[in-house]
Amino acid sequence: MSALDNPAVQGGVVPLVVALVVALMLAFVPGVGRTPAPWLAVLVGYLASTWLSTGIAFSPLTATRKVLVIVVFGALAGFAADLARARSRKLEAALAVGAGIAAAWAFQSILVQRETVPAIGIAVAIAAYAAAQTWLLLAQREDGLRTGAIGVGLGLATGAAAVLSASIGFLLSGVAIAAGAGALLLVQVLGRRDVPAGHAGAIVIGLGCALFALGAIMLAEMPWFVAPLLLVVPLGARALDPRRLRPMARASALVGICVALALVPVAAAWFAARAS
Amino acid sequence: MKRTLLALACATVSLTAVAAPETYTLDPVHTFTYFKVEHLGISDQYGRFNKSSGKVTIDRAAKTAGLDISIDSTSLDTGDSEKGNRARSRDDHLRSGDFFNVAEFPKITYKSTKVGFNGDTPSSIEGNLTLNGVTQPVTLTVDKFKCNAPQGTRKERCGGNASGKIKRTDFGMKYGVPGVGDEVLLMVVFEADKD
Repeated sequence: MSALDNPAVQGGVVPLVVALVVALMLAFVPGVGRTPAPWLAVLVGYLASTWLSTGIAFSPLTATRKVLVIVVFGALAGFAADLARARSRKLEAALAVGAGIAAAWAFQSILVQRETVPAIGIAVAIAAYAAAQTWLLLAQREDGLRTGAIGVGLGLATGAAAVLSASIGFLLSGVAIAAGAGALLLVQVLGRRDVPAGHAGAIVIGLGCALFALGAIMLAEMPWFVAPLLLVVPLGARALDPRRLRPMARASALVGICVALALVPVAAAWFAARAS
Repeated sequence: MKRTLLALACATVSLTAVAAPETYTLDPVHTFTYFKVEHLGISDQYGRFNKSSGKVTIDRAAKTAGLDISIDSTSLDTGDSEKGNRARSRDDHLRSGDFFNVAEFPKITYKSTKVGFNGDTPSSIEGNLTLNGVTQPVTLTVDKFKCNAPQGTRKERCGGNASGKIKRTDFGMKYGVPGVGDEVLLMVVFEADKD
């Protein structure tokens, strides 16, 4: 076995290093550095992790593969909105609704095996959760430090809850998002400048983690109530943000807050596993 | 002349009856699919699927046969279904999207396309295995095949063992390679009652 076969390397080290390199390259390109473009590094880190752990393929288009497709196209749609300098509540709402519909599509192959009425109910719940989490991140996209900290907390929470639910694949995906978001935090703190996450960064983190959690529910053993508890991370970060601190101290405090909040859904997944 | 024609017709009907393929239904309590996979390069671990159904057809005169098996992938059993103090068991993990993805693909199927014979006995089965939504040709070697004559009220019963190797990555199951081996030995043991 090589080092690249180690799950810790696949889910943590590789996405952190890849995201850091890509973000640094983009952050110091004149005219690009102050745009959300460096946040695409989180997506690249996630793709690198997936490529190493399960490979990237699209046939047959399974639910897990649809998750990857949605995260990529969601990020590209967000980046297009960033390039167009689009800013409106309606756009945020449209992207969130689109995220919800895409999430329901991702798990369609499992839903069609159930009775019609329960399947519709589950599809609506899936769409509502994915839309809510995406919207919560979109609403905070101008604050790069807070988005980065949320990415660390939400990614770790999703990954830890997934592995407690018998899914190592979604553990790696969640941790990859956390590592990528951590890389963006480092770039901002060390570069002493705020890089807004934009629609692209917000969608990769918000929608990505929502889809990983939903995947762990639909394809593994995660109890449904863990998903809404994950919303505690972006909600808490917004409410508890120590805005007056200097960037380094604020970033540290935000990461601490988000990781502490992440313990709520992880504890729920843990107790559910013990009780079942 | 009429008698000769009648005799010929009877003989033809009789020969047709002898040459007709016979169908057998798999007995679920004596039909299991086992799998063997290397773990960490130090041991071979075994598992099996506890529920399956299907048919065997055989035409001894024409030396043709068929095997269709549908396996309930949720019935996976590696001997570690109780999680004890852990969050989840190995069987929970194997059922998840990392491996057999049973929520999305609750059935594994094998349909033969050609059966080779050694004398009167089936010796190899060429067919298509559908696992995780991917269909790939898989050839099984028939290690054993025998039929018992009907006894009393009991119908004729045939059974056997067949085995073959696959690469799980060919079926999109890449997680854990190479710690959990890529090559998997499939072993089908079956018994079937004549319909």
